[in-house]
Amino acid sequence: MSDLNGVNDVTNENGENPKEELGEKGEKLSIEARLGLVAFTIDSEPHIKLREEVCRECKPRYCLFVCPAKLYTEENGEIKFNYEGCLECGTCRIACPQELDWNYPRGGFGAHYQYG
Amino acid sequence: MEEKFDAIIVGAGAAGLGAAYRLAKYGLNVVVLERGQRIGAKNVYGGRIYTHVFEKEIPEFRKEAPVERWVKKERLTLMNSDDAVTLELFSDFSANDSFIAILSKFNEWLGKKVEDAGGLVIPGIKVDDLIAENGTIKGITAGDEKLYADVVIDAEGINPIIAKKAGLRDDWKPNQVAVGVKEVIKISENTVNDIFQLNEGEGVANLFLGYPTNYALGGGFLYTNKDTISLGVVIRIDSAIAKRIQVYDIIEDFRNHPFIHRILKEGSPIEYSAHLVPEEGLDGIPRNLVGDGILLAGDVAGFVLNRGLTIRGVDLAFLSGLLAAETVKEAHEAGDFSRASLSSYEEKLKNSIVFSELEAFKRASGLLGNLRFYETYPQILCEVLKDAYTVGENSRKIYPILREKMKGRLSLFTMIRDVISAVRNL
Repeated sequence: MSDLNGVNDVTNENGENPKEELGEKGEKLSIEARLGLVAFTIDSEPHIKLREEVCRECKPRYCLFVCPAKLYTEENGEIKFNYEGCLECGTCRIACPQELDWNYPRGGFGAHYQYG
Repeated sequence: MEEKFDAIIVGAGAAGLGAAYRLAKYGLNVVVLERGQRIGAKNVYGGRIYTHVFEKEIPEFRKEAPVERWVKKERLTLMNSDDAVTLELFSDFSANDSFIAILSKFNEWLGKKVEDAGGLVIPGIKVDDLIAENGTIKGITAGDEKLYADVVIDAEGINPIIAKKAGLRDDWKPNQVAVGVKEVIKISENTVNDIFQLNEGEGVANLFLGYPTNYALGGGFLYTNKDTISLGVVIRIDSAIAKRIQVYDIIEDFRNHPFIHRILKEGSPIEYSAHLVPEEGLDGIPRNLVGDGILLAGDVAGFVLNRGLTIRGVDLAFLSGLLAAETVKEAHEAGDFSRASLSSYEEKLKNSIVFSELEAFKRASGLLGNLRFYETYPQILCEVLKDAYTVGENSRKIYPILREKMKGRLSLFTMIRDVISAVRNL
């Protein structure tokens, strides 16, 4: 039923070929490196949408630190959101003091966990 | 296209697949719609599942289920930034056993059982909305498609998109759910056995308090899979907000703690994931679990029990699915899918371990909201034991060390009250 228009290829087939060895003690794997371990099929349209004017007025901006994928960032005082790399947990929706337009990606899109 | 099923199930998790398995066995025409590209693709779980409910329902469970390891050692570790104090129970758990599993693989297996029983599971379909006629649910929409059924079992998981549309529950508040993050790290099977002193097929379930959450409400976990380790941190969202926890890096701080680093230093990370967990126990369950033509099962209904020492949800989800299926079968025979007819589901749940267990530990979630268990006690315990084990010219007895460490952080009265409360309610 679900068409696959707008698919980017799965960005990463993980499992047998881990990208990176764990480093020395104290060396953190960056969130970008960890997201690189997740297989995604990215949809052409974002499944979570911010309302610019609401976000601009928002003081607490909890999204900047509670998102486990660090997809919310601040640029020139504006909140930017990158839906690619979304782990689909829902934390931002729960933490957001405003009403966030949150949904799952379309069927078949988003993260494909193998060890979830 | 207008197809009509006896039942449509939203979500191929443990709850949805439990309902489908039983309905298929009854010979009803059932379809499970799963938004993941395959069954299990959206699941994230710490690792431990209790056996009892599955074994009772699926006779070939022990022979077939994708078990990583059977839990042989239970551990609780209290941690500060440098040290760790561990309590370990080594025992014969055969009377009440549990196993460690990768939920993605476990649900894939459950999906096969459903198909073997004659049920239909379609992955890649996200249910967008419900079709209601005169207030009664008659089916679902997914993109441009419409599917009709006598009844919908909503087992969508923790994010209540559909249940909200049905008016059956509100969204969770930050103090009712926790965010869990997990890394799976590949090490060899022999290394797992050597490090944890395990025989083949035996595993360790290790929970952590203190440093892993940066002293916020929640805990860390480590489960030994066959040749991988699941390492995770779970933090209640209100506490992550209050302490301004950088949730995206918390797992890496935990992995780099000396106690964990020496276990995993030869491993390679193979996956990172995140998911929400209901934390409120009985109080997180919505007042109505059924509506006209719809029932809620699993996480969306809040059926997770956190006792501090143990957390269980997958078996309760599966059982709630079975009970939903029993209810639907009775409704099918009576030809009545009204709220009144389906309300026997709520009775069935109340007479099952889903409610009896949640009821027995109903004060646990309040107690587990006490920040001292995450902040004060792990740090004081590590510091006191370190000093007590330190031998030198000015060695001291435990009591004066304890009083020194408690000074300004904790009164004796508060500590005694907390200990009594923990022993009574957990």
